[in-house]
Amino acid sequence: MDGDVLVSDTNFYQVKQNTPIFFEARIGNGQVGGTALRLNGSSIPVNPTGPTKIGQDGQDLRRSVLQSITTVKDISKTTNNTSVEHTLSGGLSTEVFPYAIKVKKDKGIARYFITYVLS
Amino acid sequence: MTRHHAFLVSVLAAVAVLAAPRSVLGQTEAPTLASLRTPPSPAFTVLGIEPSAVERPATPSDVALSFVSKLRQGTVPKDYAFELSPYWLVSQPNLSWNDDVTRSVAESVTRTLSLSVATAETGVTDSPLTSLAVGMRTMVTSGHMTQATQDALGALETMLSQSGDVFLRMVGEAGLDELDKRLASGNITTAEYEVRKREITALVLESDEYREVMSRAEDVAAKREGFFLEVAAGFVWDFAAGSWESRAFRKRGIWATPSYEFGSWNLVGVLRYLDETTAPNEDALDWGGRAVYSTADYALSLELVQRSPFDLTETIRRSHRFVGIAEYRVSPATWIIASFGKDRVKTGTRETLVAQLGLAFSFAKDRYF
Repeated sequence: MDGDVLVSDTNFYQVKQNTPIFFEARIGNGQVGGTALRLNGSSIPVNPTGPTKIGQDGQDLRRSVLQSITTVKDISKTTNNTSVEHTLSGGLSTEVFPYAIKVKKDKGIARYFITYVLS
Repeated sequence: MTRHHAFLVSVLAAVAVLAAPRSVLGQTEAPTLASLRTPPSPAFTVLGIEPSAVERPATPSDVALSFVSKLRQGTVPKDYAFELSPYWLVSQPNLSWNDDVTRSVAESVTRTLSLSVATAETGVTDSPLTSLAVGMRTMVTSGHMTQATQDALGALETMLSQSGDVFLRMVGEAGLDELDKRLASGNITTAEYEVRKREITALVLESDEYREVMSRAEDVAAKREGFFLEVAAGFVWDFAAGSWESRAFRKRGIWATPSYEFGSWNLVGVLRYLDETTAPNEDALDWGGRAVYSTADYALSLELVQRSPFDLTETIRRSHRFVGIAEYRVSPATWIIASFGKDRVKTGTRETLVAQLGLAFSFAKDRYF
């Protein structure tokens, strides 16, 4: 669609054996957006105001694939910048994956389609 | 528009045309409240120009590039218009829309500050003169986001999350689930995976099903209410023959526009201070206010504007304008406007009566500032 932009990336995140992890998305620049998650092809309800638990207690997440898409709509009159920070915690370390892109025109949409390979 | 309304509009249009010459001639010099409001680009206003092209750099490097290219010639650049919002020059990853529901004074000032610079040729052929204007504008307070806007943004968030669910399901069904298994088991490199992933993504983004879902992502115009205080200032210097050494200060303008919105009421104040060294007779402090009560179908307002020149003479005196205005909507974008009141005294005429009837066409949702 006109004005829309896409960020696509793949990252690796080291998990602890038989331990769930947590995912959180922060949308910046005063823009509005929503995130959806799928773990190994199954949808996960996302907590829009805080971390979302990925996996169950005792579940081994190694060799799993977590798909995330954060769809951001430009609502700002003052900037066309959009940004997203994905934070993964509960694994060997807490890692932040920052992304930013500018939509091509006002009210455009930015999609951040990020794949996390859990290892 | 009903037939009755169409007839009414036609009659009023004819009345407005017949009444226009007398009314318009009598009010060409009267300052209106709108003309005293804080200008969006103070530099352009004090310089008295409406530039056809304005540079609006979006990054710090764009700012540097713009200045370097213009100053390379070693003289004051000619016919140059530039505007920027420093806060938005860099990405603000920590600012969510929820963080912007309310603002402290410091947050309001930094998020709404804009700077403007303009130059123009203001001399004549025999005496070339380049004028440079700089200006700033900001909101000291900017109210708070309306509950309706917050609700609309919350609903948009939910809708965008749901569109993401549809998207992930569709890319999975289009082959990404199988590709994920190969990636997790190390049978494909991340580079190869990304290439294939982008191909699948493009297919889904172009699909009718996904487009239909995204068509529900309606635009939200964020609206704020409460107390607002907008201030601005602009300054002009003249440069004879484009030389920095020959600069002379010419004019300054300072504006303040406090306003308060609550429910159907809108209160607006204006204050403008103008001081011009080359035209001291024009120096004045103008102030005024407007109270508006509006509904979807009608609006009633009272408007007062006072002009206080600094050097009072027989012909330059204090004066004011006090007008009551009634507006009635006859169609979604057509309003009948009736004004009645007292205008300020103007040179060469004793007319001070304001009595106007007219039509206005407005397609904007917010008709009042």
